[in-house]
Amino acid sequence: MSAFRRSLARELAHLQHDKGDRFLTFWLMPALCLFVWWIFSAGQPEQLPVAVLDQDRSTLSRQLIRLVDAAPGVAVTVSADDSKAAVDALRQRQVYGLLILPKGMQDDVYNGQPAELVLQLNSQYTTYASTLQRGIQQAVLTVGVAISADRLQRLGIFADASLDTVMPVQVLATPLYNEGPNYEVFLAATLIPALFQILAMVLTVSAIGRELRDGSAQGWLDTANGSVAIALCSKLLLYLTMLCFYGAGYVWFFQQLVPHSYTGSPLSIWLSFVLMNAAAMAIGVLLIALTRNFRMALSLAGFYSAPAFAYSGQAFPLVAMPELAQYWASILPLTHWLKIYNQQWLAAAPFAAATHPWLILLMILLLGSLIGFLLLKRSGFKPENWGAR
Amino acid sequence: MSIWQHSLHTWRLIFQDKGAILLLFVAGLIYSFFYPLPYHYEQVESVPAILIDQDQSSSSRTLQRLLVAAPNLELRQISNDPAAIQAALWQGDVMALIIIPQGFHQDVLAGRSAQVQVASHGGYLLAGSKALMNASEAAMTMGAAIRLHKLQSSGFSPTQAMDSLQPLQLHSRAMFNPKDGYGHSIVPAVMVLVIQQTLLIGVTLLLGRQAELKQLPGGWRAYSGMLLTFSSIGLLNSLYFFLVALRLQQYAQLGALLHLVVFCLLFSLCIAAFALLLGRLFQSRERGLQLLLVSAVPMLFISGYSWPAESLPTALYYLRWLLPSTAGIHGFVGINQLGANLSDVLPEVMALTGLSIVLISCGLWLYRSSGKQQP
Repeated sequence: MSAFRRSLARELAHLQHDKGDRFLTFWLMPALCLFVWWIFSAGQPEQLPVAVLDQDRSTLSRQLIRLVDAAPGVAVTVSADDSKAAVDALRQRQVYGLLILPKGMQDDVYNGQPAELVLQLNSQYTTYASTLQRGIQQAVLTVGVAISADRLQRLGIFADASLDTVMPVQVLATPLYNEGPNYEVFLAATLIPALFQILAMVLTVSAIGRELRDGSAQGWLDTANGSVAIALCSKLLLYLTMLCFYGAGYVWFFQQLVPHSYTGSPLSIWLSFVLMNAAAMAIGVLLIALTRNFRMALSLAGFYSAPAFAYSGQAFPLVAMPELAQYWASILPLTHWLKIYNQQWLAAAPFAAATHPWLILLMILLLGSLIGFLLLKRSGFKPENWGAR
Repeated sequence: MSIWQHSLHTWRLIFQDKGAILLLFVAGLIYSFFYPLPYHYEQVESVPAILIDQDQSSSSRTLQRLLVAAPNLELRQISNDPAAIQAALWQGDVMALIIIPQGFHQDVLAGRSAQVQVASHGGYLLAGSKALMNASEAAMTMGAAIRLHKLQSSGFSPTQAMDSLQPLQLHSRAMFNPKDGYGHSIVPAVMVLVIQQTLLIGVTLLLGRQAELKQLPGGWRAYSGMLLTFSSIGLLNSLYFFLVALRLQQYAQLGALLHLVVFCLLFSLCIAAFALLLGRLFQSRERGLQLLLVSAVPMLFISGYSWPAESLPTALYYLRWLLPSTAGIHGFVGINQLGANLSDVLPEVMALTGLSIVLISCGLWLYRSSGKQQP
C-alpha cells in the first residue's frame, strides 16, 4: 500500500471507532442544511399581525381594514378599543404595528380635507416593521388614489385620465436576479455557506489537532513515510471530499428549488464553493500549526468563522461598514464567495467578471496551506509540542 | 461535600483552566465589541446607483436633480454603454439602476402617467429597498408638483388642490428603534446568543476534561453546586452585556433595572442547566467546541426574531421554545429595547421557568450517581 493510501486508511479507521467525529464529519452538515432551509421554507414573511384602532367606524374605515388585511404579509388580528391597550399589545409583541384610523376620517375625506392616518411600528423587529410598512402603505395608497380619481371625475376635470392625474410619475420596481424577494435565496442559501466555512475549519483543526493532543502525531507521520506533505494531504482529502459532496448537494438543492432565480452555471458555482471550503481548511491548518493546541485552535477558528456572516456583506452591505470591519471582511473566504454567489449564480455574469474573488480565494488557500505546512513541518512533530490542552 | 464546597471547587477548577477562563469571561468581553463593529453606522447611508437618462429632457433633468438630492442615493456617472453598466452591477460597484425611459417628458406633458424604472440587485435586499424608497420619494415629489400645477391652472386654489390630491396621508412612526438602525435591532439579540454559547462551550470544555479524567462529580449536591457556579457566571455575563456593553455603545435602554435583573437570573439559571446537561453528554474537552460553534446561526434564526416567527414552519414555531435563547432574545429585547416589564414578557418568563424545571430534573437524574466517579 502506498504511503498516501495507508495514511488515508488510518484516518478512516479513526472515524470508524469515534462516534462523535463520525457524526461531525458525515451527518452534521446535511442535518444543518436541511434545518436552515426548513426555517426559511415559507420564502416570504406572511401573516404578520397588526392591530387596528378604528376610531371612525365608517364605511371608509371598514374598506381600509379589508384592504390592509389583504395586503401581502399583513394580517389584521386585533381591533383595539383604546390606544393604551393597543400599545400594550405592541409591547407584548402580540402585534408589531398599530394602525390608527382617526375619528372623523370619512367626513374629512368627503369634505375635501386630508385625513391623517398613523401607523406605529415596532421597528426593533425590523423584518416585521418593513413588511408591515410596505403592505399597509400600498393599501392606503390604493384607497387614496381611488378616492382622488373619483373626486376629480365628479368635479368634471380630467374625466378620462383621472388615475394618471393622481399619480403623474410612477415608480416601477424591477428587482433583478432575485424576484420576489425570496428569503430562501437571500438568507437560507447564503447562511448555509457560512456554516460550511465554520465546519470546514472545525474538521481541519480537529483532524490535525487530535494527533497533537494525543501525541499520536509521530504514528501519523510514520504511516506517510515521514512526509509531512503526504500526511497532510491524505488526512485532509477525506474531509474535503465530504465537503465537496455536500457542497454539490447544496448547489443542486437550491438550483432545483428556485430555478428561475439561479441563472448562472451550477458547475462553476460548485467549483468556487469547493475553493472556498479549501481556503477555509487552509486557514484551519494555519491556526493549528500556529497554536499546536487543539482547544486553542478551535477557539480561534470559532472567533474567526462564527461571526463571519455578519461581516460578509450579505445582510448588511460592506459599503455601509466602518473601514476596520471591511478589512476584517476581506480576510474571510465567505465574503469573496458570496460575491461570486451574487454575481455568478444569481446574475449569471461571465466567469471573467469573477476573476478577482477567485484569485483572492486561491491566494488564501495557497498562503494558508503553505505557511501552515512549513510551521507544522518545523515544530508540529516535536514531542515537546504535544499534549497541550 | 456540601453544595457550597462543590460550588467553590468548580470555581477553583475554572480558574485553573486557561481555556475555560477564555471562553467564560474573555470571549464575551471581546465579542461585545467585535460583533457590533460592522453595524457601527447603523444605516445604509448611501446606496451607489446609476441613473440612465434615456429621455434627456427638461422633465428628466428635474427628476435627476431630485434624485441627486435624495438622502441615501449616491448617483454615479457611468457611460450609457450597457456593457459597462452591466459590469458595474456585477461587481457590486453599483447596487441599483434608475432608468428614465424615452418619452418621459412627452408623458408628463400629455398628462399621462410617466414611468420611472428602479432595478436593484435582489441579492442585496437592504440596499435595494433603500434605493427604491429614495427614488419613490423623488418621484412623488415631482408628481405632486405636476399635479399642483395642473390643478391650479384649472382654477383651483393651491390649498384646495393639495387637499384634493392626498385624501389619505399615512404617517409611519418607528417606535423603540426610532432611526430604524440595523445594529440597534440585531445586536441585542446576538448578545443573548453570545452569553448562551460561550457558557455552553465553556462548561462543556470544563466538564469534558473532568469526564476524561473520570472526575466528573455526581450526586445532587455536586449538581447543585455546579449549577450555582455556572448560573453566577451566566448572570455576571448577562449583567455585563445589558448594563455595561450595550450602554457603552448607546443601544437604547428602556428596561426597569429590577425587571432586567430578575430576567437575567432566570435566563442564567436556564442556560446553566442546559450547559450541565450537554456537559454530561459530551465526553471530551473539545467536543462542545466542535459541535456548538455551528449552532449559533440556526439558533438565531429559529428564535423568530430576525425571521418572523409567523413564517416559521408550524413545528418549529413551537419547538423553538426548547432553546433558552428563544425566550432569552425576546425577553431581553422586550425589557431592554421596548421597555417591557416582567408581566409584558410573561410568555418568555414562563418558557424559561418551565424549561429550567425540565432541564434541572433531567440534570439531577443524569448526575444521580453520587460520587462514583470521584477519585
